[in-house]
Amino acid sequence: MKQIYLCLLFWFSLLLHSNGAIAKDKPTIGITLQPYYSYVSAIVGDTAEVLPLVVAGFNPHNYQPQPEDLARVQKMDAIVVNGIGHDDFALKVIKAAQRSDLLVIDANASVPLLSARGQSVGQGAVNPHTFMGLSATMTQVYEIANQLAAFYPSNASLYRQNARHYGQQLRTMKYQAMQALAQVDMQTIKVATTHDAYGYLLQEFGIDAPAVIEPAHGVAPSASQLQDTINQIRSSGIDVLFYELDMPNRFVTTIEQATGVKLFRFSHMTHGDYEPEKVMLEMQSNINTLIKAIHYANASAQKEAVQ
Amino acid sequence: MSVQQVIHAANGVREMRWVALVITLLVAIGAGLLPFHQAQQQGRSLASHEVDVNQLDPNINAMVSELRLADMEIQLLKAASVSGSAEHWPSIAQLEAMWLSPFVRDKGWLDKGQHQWQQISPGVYQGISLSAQTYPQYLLNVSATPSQIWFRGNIGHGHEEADIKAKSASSYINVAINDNLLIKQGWQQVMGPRATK
Repeated sequence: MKQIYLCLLFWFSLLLHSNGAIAKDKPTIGITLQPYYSYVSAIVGDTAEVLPLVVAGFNPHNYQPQPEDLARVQKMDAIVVNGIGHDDFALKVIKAAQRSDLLVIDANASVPLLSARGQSVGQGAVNPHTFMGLSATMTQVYEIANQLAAFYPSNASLYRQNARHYGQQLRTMKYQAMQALAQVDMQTIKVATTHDAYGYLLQEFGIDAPAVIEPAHGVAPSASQLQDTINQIRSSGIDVLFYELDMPNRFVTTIEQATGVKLFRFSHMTHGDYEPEKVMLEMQSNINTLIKAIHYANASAQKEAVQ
Repeated sequence: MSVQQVIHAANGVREMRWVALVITLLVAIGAGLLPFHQAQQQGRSLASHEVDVNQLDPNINAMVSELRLADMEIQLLKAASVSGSAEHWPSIAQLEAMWLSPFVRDKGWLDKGQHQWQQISPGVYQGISLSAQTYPQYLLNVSATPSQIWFRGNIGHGHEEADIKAKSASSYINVAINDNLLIKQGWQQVMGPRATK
């Protein structure tokens, strides 16, 4: 009996040891939001495990940390965070974990940020949706790659090479979009948005969105705020309203009926499953939507000019 | 002998006074401790030629975003280059061929002022708009540690513009760049977010 017990203990200790060896050879990189899953997967390839802090299906706009999140942080060697307001839940979990050895990568450390917009936005608040923009995405990918390269020098060259390849795909996407819009006068384009998420993307194409319907990030407008927005859309001659896939948009139909704006739908990229290709697919889809919307707004502006 | 006893009216006045006293004490203690609960300002204050990236005009912010990304791209490109030469920086033509903003002449380049980019010394890229009265000129110094981004508005009647256009895009002008010279000429340095290196 004693021999059997010793044998089991030996195999158990061997199993633990081998697990430890795997963890050491292949680090676990945590992420907080879906876009970072795509970025990190592209950078590390099969040299590391990418572990989401929260299981798929949560809404980052109102998520409250759970004990299981803390358990997942304990498995991570590094974690990539948005760090500017879209994953505050994660920052609380990381703080609670008290892991002095955990590398926390601030993906937005090198991104010039935009101010948050909305009727009830606090002073100094920044727009945390850097993952929606092409250039801001590339900057984050390079930042993550550089920090991971410094932490894992043996893979530095691979991480930087993968990041450049990812950036090249996004640059191609941007260049093709610019070509598709070559004949459009962007000065005539006026748009509104339900959620203050598209500033980084619109900025790259020289478009301003003066009307943001949500008074603050993830907050539904009151009746009076909705009326103010409707008045602003009417007085500014706004033709296009961008709204969110996968988010409550009860007020969108009201605005459409009251103002006659045409609705175009973007993906926020932070809903659904964690998939390596998610950012590329949804970014391309958003770009296609943007091109359609700009052509529509341009045609409307030309029609108004003729009248 | 008569005994006099004062009986206070049961109207809550005494209790109210005690409560008011406690509230006053709490407020006083809170006010006294407030200075110790402030977040300490980190870092130094900005010099007169420095501008916080968060205070920029949206159009300048858009260009600075592209330059910050270009800075990272150039650093990665240089790190991956076979030559490994410390002074070998990618040319404007190379950057344009990579479709890298703000060097590539696309729709964004047209709308943001059609800047003519020139590498004025190793790792220093200067862009002057064809409409220099309207759009600022920019300078990206990738050779500095950390990298620097500068801008300057209203540069006059285009002597520098003409000078730069006359130069070959493939060769350096070899202008000696230093912070004091730039400050003297009215350039402003963008501070933050963190530059590479």
